[in-house]
Amino acid sequence: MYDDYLIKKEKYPNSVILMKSGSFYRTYDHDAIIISYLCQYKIIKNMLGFPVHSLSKVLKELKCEEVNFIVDDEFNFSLENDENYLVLFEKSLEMYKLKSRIDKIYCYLNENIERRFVKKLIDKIEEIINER
Amino acid sequence: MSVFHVLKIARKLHPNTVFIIDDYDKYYIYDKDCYIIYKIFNFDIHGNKNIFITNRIKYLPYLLNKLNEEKIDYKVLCKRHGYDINSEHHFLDNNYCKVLKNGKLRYQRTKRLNQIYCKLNYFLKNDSKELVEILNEIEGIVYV
Repeated sequence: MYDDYLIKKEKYPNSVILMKSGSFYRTYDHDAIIISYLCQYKIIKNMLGFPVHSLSKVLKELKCEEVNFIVDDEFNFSLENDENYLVLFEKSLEMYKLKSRIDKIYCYLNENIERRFVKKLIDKIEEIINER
Repeated sequence: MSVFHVLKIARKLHPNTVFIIDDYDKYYIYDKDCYIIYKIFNFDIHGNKNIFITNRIKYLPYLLNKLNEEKIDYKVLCKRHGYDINSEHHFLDNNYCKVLKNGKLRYQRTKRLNQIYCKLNYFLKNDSKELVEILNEIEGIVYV
């Protein structure tokens, strides 16, 4: 499926491409980052999936942002101006990196939750957040 | 007699024992015993009072095996038979207090950590510039 995606991506580099797989739609790489930003789905190993019944919600978000998309040969939405894709991707990537940093801190503290130093760290982090 | 009254009496006699209440098609665990189950299984604690365990047939043997592995005393009380003891186990080196202490600690810290995570995500949605500053500061103390 990923190979099919790459072939399509080569053809339409500035469109979000959604591939149907059973009762899910899947997308990869940059497109996954965009959908994750718009709809808060999780990316697992470069891939993002969402159920078929959520397609309308995803497409609505993409239309709002005026980004071109192609849904597995079924239909596509294309505007003459395809610069929105790049703008949205940059914004999504920035958010994705921030989210990854938050998740990394959370995982690190959660893994060591019973260790003594974590209590001090949690105290300090709470102080930092409450100052704002 | 209410379950809380029964537990109050039972705890006076056996303070370091997990009491599992068999209530027809579900099992319940109350009060401080919840922290033990939280520590072992990561089950959610509802309203800090009870843990709700479904799947009557499959879950209980699994739960009891885990309690045996961890060497924690337990008693299963059957509500429909007037809180008769269904099954029980007593260990000479009971780890109840140790696991309870760790469970409480884990629960309280996880709760605070989750609140921090929610706040950071709130900043992510509303003020990403401030979040960058906060994350820089946090990473500075976490990854020393």
